[in-house]
Amino acid sequence: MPIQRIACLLSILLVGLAAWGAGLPNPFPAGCITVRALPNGLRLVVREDHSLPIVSMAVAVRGGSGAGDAPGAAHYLEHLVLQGTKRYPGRLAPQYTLEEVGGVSEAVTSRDMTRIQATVASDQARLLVDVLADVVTAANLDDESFARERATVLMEIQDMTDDPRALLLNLGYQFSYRSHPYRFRTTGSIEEVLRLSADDVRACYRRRYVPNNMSVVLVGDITPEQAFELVVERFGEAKTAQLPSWPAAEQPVAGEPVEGHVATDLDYTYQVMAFPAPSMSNINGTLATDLILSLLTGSDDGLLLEQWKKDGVPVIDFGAEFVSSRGPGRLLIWALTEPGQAARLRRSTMNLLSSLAARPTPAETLALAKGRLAAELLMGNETYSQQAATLAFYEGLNEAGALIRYIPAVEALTAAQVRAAMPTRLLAWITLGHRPE
Amino acid sequence: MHVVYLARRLCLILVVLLAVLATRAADIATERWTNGLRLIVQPTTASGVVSVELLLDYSSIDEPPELQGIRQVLVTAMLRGSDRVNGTALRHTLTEVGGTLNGRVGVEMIEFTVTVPADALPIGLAALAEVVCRPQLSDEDIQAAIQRSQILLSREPADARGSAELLSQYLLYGPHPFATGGLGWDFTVEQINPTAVRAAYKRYFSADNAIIAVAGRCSEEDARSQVRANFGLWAGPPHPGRPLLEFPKLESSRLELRELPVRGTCIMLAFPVCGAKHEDFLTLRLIDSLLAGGTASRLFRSVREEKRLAYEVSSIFPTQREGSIFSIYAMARNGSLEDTKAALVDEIVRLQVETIPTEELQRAKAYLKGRYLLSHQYSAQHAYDLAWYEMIGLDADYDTRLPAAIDAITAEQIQRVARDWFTHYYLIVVIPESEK
Repeated sequence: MPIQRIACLLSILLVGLAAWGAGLPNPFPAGCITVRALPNGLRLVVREDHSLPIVSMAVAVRGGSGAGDAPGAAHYLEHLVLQGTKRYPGRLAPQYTLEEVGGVSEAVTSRDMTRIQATVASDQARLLVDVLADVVTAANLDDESFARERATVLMEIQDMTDDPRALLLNLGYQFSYRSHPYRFRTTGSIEEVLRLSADDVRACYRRRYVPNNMSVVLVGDITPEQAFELVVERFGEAKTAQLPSWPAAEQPVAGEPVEGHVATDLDYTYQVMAFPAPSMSNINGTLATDLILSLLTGSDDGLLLEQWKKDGVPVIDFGAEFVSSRGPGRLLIWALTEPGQAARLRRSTMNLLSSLAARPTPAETLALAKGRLAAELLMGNETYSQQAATLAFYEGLNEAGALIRYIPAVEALTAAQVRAAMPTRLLAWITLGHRPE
Repeated sequence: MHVVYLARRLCLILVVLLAVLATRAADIATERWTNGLRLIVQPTTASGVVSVELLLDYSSIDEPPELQGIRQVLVTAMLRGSDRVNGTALRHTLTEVGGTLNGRVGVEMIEFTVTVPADALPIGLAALAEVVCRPQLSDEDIQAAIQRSQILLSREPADARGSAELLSQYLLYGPHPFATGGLGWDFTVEQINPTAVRAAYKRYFSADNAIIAVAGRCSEEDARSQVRANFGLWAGPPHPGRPLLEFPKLESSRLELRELPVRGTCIMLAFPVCGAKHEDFLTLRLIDSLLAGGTASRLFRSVREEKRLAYEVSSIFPTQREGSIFSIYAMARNGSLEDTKAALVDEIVRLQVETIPTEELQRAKAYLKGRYLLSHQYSAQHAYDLAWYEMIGLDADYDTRLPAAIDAITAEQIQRVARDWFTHYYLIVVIPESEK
């Protein structure tokens, strides 16, 4: 009997897994969104879903910390826009007004965009659009708010500096770009923020927070018609502006990778390795890099850990990061190892990447990685808030249609495409620890 | 043998099917099977995700005093897998489909949560059943779990707020088992042994003592049949009964000042209050919103913004069946200890002597209802709420009755409840050692 029961359990797990692999789940299937543009260039993306009486709104403002504005200005602005507006003038009034009806709001800056978002019960949809429209078109940005918020911004930067992993990733970007503004921290450094003036921040608002540079995303219990009506009412009069050009592409750099070391009192050694990765203009390259990330780290038997174990490199913690970007991308691999092991870790990693670039990934391994990628997208978009944030992210980079094409494009990726995208050229490596290795 | 086994299995399933007592409230389906298991299903279509919450009525009160922390050891050991599939293989299978399986020990219950893409519900339920119904509980697994508890106990909170919260539990619950917070104490965990852990499993892990709630993308029929396929044959004894333990009474307000290796300074007022079944509980929850519900709340606007005494103000008020602690706290700026304490006390007194303006009351109600609604975007939170309200006797449909119940609370009730419950408190002050 035990053998029969074991067989039964295994068959449930395996049949389930096989059925799962038969078709990738797609949280953003074709036809799930409606896109319209206002005459002033504002894009409206609506995902209608009446399952819950909730609506989430995200405004994507293209051009984050990597768009060429004064370093730290985009992030500082993100702190200020929710502090007060023309219609909601009191300190924190926009946030206060949304919380009064049980809503939540947040603002996030990345290298390519700022996202201002809030979620409320759907009977408050009009208030939601009214508040966020004022935030992105009529923020006060007065000197007093600017001065008061400086301490909070600096504290946030200090917290990130105190966190070795956050510091390490920032250094990975800083050292692997030579000219592109992606080399600056999203928040700016403490020195850069101290140099910022209220005028710098207001100039950034005037340049970026204009309708032809923004997209409004609404997800949940609202029809496209209702959404359009509300958005036209509140954004229709906003004036377009001449948009600044995007930063020039990074100049290709030949030669040895950049090396760096930051002395800390850590008992272990942190190391980050930075590799070139495609921009969103190369969509297949971007997807292939997403898959490579999944192959390297996506499961408890990821290829990186397997290789390091094989080569006897002690690794206490590790990870990798690749964020789709408008400009030149980077794939970062980081690990926490024992002192004196950084060079072995690097050699072992480079050997793995070279061998992966030399032969195609087996079909079964590739299928599992595709499944993991699709599942991550599904699980990371359970809520209306998450869906609005993801749609806004793609609007910030390019347009939400790329998200609709994402899963079919992943399904169509071949082993040859993945092999071609395999990063093999190390741009920079940086260590954190007692002494340089 | 095989045929006999299948026949027995079919008969049992048939009996379970015939014995199901189904009731329905709104679109929540609730039923109790002959093996005692309670199943709650609430399908939604908001995403492609589904969660299964398994709650077990196994409280810290049920732990023998000399073995406090045994529930935590048991759950950690269970997650190491069954005699057929080890924990790593189970986690790997779930990871491949994007799912997760977690176990948690609360003050009054144990929970296991599976969250998976809708198509992978059979995989998630099979993994859950392996861990819950057939854990291996080998000596090696249990010893590893004991070690993990000891490591967790050795870690002091690095922040002043976390330390103040632990102190509030220790001081207000006193000798009551709720004081342990689930982990137990060093001297009790070291007495835990594999035999005791396996006995605890046999005593408390039974269908009769469990509730399963399924929320998210599924059909009611599918969820029911899949849960039945995995848990229909689960048996075990009924709950052995629970001693009635009184909470210590706080006869007067007291001060506790601690200098600890922490960051920041925390000033906390902690009041012993009633549990979730008490008629005053929801009013206390609304008071929690009034005092600390976001940037519009009294503490935020008064203590943080107007008086600028603290950089963080908030509250802690866990929903517990038997009794709870209502705490408000401020992370104080340097040199503002006395003023901050006075400001916190003032806000409590204001509740007791002033009638809440209608507009502010409406705001607090809207905040509470809105936050509850938004939390249901997550199927795991939704499933937990359904199972928890059923477990504490408020019934799964409390979830749908809650907004109307909040609306019915009056300003007079708030004043009365504030007077009744906010009488004596512990004032807990945690400061960094360097400020000694």
